[in-house]
Amino acid sequence: MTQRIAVSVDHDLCVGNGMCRAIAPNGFVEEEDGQSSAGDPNAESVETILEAAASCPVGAITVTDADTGEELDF
Amino acid sequence: MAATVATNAFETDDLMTPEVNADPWGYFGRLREHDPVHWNPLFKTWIITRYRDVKAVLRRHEQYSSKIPIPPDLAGEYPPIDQQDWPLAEDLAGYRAFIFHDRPEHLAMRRAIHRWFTPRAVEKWRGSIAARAQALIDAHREAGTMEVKRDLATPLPLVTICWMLGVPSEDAKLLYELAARVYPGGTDNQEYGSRRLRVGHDAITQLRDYFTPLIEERARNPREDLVSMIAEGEITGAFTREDALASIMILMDAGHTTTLNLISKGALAFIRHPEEWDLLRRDPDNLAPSALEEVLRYDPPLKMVILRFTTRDVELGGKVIRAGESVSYVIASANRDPEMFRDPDTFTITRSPNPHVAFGGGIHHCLGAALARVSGQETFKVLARNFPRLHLGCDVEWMIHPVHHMVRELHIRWD
Repeated sequence: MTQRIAVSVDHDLCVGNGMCRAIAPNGFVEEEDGQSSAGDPNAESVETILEAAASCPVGAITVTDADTGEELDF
Repeated sequence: MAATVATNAFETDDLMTPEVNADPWGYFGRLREHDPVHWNPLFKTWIITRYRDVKAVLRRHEQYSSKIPIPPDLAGEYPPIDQQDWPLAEDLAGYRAFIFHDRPEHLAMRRAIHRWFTPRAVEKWRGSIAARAQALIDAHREAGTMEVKRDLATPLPLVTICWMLGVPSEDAKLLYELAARVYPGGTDNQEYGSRRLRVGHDAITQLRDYFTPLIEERARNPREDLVSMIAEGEITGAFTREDALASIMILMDAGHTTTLNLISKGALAFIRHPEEWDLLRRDPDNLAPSALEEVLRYDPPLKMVILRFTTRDVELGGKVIRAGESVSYVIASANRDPEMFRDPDTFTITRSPNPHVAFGGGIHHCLGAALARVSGQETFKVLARNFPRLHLGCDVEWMIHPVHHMVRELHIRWD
């Protein structure tokens, strides 16, 4: 069974760079103020979500296992 | 175009005076109060000074384009440029760097190289940056004095960016000096006055001669370095050859001059606020991150960014900016906006939250931000661990530059 994951974006850190949305368009949504929020991460591969999370210039994105809550490394 | 804009008169529009350059917070702070979306008829640009308006410009990249028209219109350039040099503007390769592009090509260019600059990627440099900072200080410890720009703040990031690019470190100094002259708005270029276009063009020619064979070599035999990644980006179509050369030039210049100013101005801020220095010294490892953020807010490496053109008529701060007009935003002013920051003119290293805009925001948010943070944190930790007290060893002279707020030299002594 494919691992289900959850993402969260820290809005105190997010600067609206948008690289996450460019890499994983389904995983993130753009808010009105230009920041990103979690979209539907399970509509992308885990690898793509991890790449998107690593791409954040300010480290605002956390990826966790949706069932165990354990944080995933990237 | 300019003739139809109603100008709100302000004390001066000449950003090249010693007074404006010595105290940008006074000047731009007063401008922020008086006319926060201000048409400057001398520089022919709208000057944006409020935090919320600066954030809006950064966010709305479709409305505020970063594409510099090539060749630029030099007739209205201030300070003026020698007319005999105007034809050289046709070949301003530096303006093809990724910071001067919009989406979609901007995204492809950044995606080609961003892996080197992510917070995780730059963590691996932390130890060697700390070691280098310590070695540079050790070299001057007995003398009891150093010139911070020359002895610490230049060599440290310069060696780092050369390593990342994959350029031999013996070539670093020459390449940096050339890169700093490339842009008419670049760090060293302004010093050449009306000759700065020719100086920039000569520098571009020499950099092109240096990097062209290197890009071609790395395309054939790639290594784990940035020039190889850029060469690959040329192969995949993210960069033309000119884009690739320009992006290397900007990484050389921005990848080091901004960190240079961060370290030198941060040291000055701590010298002028010894109680904050004492606080940092009590627990450098834990306090360095928030201290570095406060340095970035209080005296940011980039004072003002003259770099946007509207793609259509836009409304900002109650004014209408027509399509095709130049827009400049003042980071130094936004970082001291009382609407956003309590006691904005107070340097306090435990300030939290600290949503400064020293690195900009939106799609052009500084690519090197994580590396700058690691470099700055480790440098101030090393200084804090080594020196109970820092003192100024010279008068502070602020250089004249519309974009950068830089000291000419910073001699310091220590106990």
